[in-house]
Amino acid sequence: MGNSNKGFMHLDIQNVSKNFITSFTRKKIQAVQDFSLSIDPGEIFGIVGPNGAGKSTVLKMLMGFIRPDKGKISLLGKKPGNPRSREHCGYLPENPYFYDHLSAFELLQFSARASDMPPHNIKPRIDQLLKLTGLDSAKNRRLRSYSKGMIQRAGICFALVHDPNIVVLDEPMSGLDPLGQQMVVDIILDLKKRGKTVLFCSHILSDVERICDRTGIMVHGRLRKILQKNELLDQGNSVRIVADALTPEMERRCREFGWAVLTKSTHVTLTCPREHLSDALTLCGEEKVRIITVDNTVNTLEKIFLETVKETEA
Amino acid sequence: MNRRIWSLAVITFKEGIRDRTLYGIGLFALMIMGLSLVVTGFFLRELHKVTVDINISAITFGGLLIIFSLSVNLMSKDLDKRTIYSVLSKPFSRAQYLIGKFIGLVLLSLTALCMLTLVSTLTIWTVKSQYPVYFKEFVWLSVFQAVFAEFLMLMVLNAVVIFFSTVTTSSFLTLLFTISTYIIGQTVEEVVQFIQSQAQEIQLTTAVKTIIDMTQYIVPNLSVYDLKIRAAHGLSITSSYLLSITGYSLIYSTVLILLASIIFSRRELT
Repeated sequence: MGNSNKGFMHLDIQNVSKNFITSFTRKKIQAVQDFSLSIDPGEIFGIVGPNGAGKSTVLKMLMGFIRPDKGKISLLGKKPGNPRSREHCGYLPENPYFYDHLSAFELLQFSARASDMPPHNIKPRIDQLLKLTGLDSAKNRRLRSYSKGMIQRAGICFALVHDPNIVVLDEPMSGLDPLGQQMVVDIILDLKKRGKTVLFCSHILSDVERICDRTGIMVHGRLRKILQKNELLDQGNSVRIVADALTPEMERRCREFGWAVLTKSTHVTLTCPREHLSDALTLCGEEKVRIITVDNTVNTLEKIFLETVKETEA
Repeated sequence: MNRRIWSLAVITFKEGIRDRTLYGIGLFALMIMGLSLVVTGFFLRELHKVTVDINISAITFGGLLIIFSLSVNLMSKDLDKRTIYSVLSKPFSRAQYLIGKFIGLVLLSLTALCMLTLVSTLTIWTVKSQYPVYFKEFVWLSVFQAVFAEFLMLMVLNAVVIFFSTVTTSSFLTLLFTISTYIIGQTVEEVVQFIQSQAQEIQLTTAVKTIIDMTQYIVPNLSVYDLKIRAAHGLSITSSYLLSITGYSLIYSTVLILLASIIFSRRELT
């Protein structure tokens, strides 16, 4: 399908809020609050957040399953309630469930036909996707006999069969083994290479960090931070020193240098830029601080994510 | 027909036709028909009436079980297990989704009915060959007309299932409301006729009269589809009657699907 939608935001969410009312107590739950996000064509955007942060609710509003209480959403220039907004969009729900008695081939045939794919393109495209996701040998088996990971793979094929311009994936790595997770990463990177827009939620921060152009951190229904890829790379240029304890003088010097100090009951973590490592080690020697470990394997997104969650909860 | 709607109808049909429940229902109906081969011989007169009655009843019973188990399940599973998220991520409007599901369910009922009718025909033919004397008044056309009327009733009940699936959030409630609609639909005409004939003796309040009036217009009159007795007596049904119940079924189903679409378009799929 041609990419005929350039020139405007592929996906635009402006000041969206959504509340749910519980059935019995009639208590109001604020699922999403004042959420704004615009995604350019060809961009990969990842949303991370703790359970119940409202990530899936945002995606459901985007797909038109639920309506926002406030704000506006536009998908390829159309409102989510308009079925045509989903013509060039592929969606993978969280923990997808399909028709038990259909085979993967029949399921994808339905997906292709429902997306108005030209009939002669359907079989080659399905075969290509099934091969890519490793389901080709099980394509005629009924889905009820599939494992969770296989269902997830079938769901990814279902979302991609019509080669959509926008791909929305809710926890695409869920239930997949490491090979499957790598496969999803490769698929997303390939989509980017072909100019497709990808929006996805995930709990696997290392993958989000690796593949996203921008990453949003969502906590308690709000988009707290949006990080550019280069911001994460800059922060990836830091090292971590774990020590028993710091002397007051050492703590003062750390503050002077602008190094981050995180004190725990059993140890202290000092994070500083890579070029300051020798200074930090010299200082530790002078102050007779016992170093437990030094590493540069700090997962920066994980660190920012945890800090953001803690800040919000504080 | 819209290719998209048809694709949904086809997978709904396939999902239903491969369900083991259908085989169970089919087997049960076949057992009743088989039983008619044995039992009919015990009757000393009007064997053709007994045979036709048992066979059409078995078809009706099988069709109703399909509605109450398979149709309800096929609709509610989409919502309960969230399969609907994947389906509606395709460019379906909510109305198109309901129409696709409805056509799939009707196709399923039609196929099951055709299979049961085929076996039923063989059963009746066997009894007819064994006791030709008793089948002088028998007319095949009446049997097929009665089966066609049963199909129309199943079509209306499928629309009822679709409607209640969009109104309620529980498959049990959908089942309960559908069974209630069937029972009321079968009896409403008799109740109204009885009340009208006893109007002098029974003192009804205006409220009760209004409720009865409303019920007879809202609930489908399913007794119009019961042509078993006419078929058993070899009385053929006029084409104008068949045409009028066909029109009634189509209009009633369309209105229900339309109402269901309006309700479902407003429903949030959380």
